[in-house]
Amino acid sequence: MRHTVLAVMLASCLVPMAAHAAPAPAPCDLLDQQMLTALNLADAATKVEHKAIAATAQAPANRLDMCTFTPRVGTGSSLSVMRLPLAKKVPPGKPICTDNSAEKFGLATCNVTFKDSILTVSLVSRRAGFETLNAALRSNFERLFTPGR
Amino acid sequence: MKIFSKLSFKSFAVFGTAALLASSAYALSWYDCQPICQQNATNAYNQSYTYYATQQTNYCNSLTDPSAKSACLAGVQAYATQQATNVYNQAYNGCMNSCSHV
Repeated sequence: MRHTVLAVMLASCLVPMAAHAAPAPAPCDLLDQQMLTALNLADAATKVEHKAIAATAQAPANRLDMCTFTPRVGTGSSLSVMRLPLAKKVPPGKPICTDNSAEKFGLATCNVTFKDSILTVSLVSRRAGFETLNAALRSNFERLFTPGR
Repeated sequence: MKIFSKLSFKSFAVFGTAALLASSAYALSWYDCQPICQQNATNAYNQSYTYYATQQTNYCNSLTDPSAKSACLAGVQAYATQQATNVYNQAYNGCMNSCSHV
């Protein structure tokens, strides 16, 4: 009886440890630690979501894979990676970045076609400090996803 | 014993009143903050949805491959909704956090 209780207690400790040790699923893995560190998200919590996309007259049904990085402490900024799989291979494209600042927050987005997918990386940040993070987003995105680099 | 009882009661009364005041102040500030933060977050949602939908549509239209362009355009609404929801949550939590700790 005592062994059974101990076994249950041990298993209950090991299951969360195993879950924690498992690698973060794609598309979180598309970004490297250097980029996350530059965006103050080196120790971020990750959340993975999948959204179904209904078929249209021009495109078959598809799905979005998304990964969001949020700081474990505070709410200063967050970063998300969206991957949209494509039915066939397309030539790798040049990264394109845009940004837009509102009164209280800044938004920045970078897109690229990469490995049969469309990748979109989006930054949301408080207005203070947005320019620095936006520059870090752009330089790291180009480093990771410019074809031939 | 009589003195001890008097002191205990006095301490209890002072502590109880302070705790009551503190809890009332917190409750009041939460109820003050909540509608303001909800409105701020809704504004942030609307602004960011417009940005994400426009930005993603422009990018999709820049793709030269017809099937990639169609697939990209089909995903704009789901992407913009998801992103704007993240912005809403971030704006709401950030606002409530700073507002109720003032």
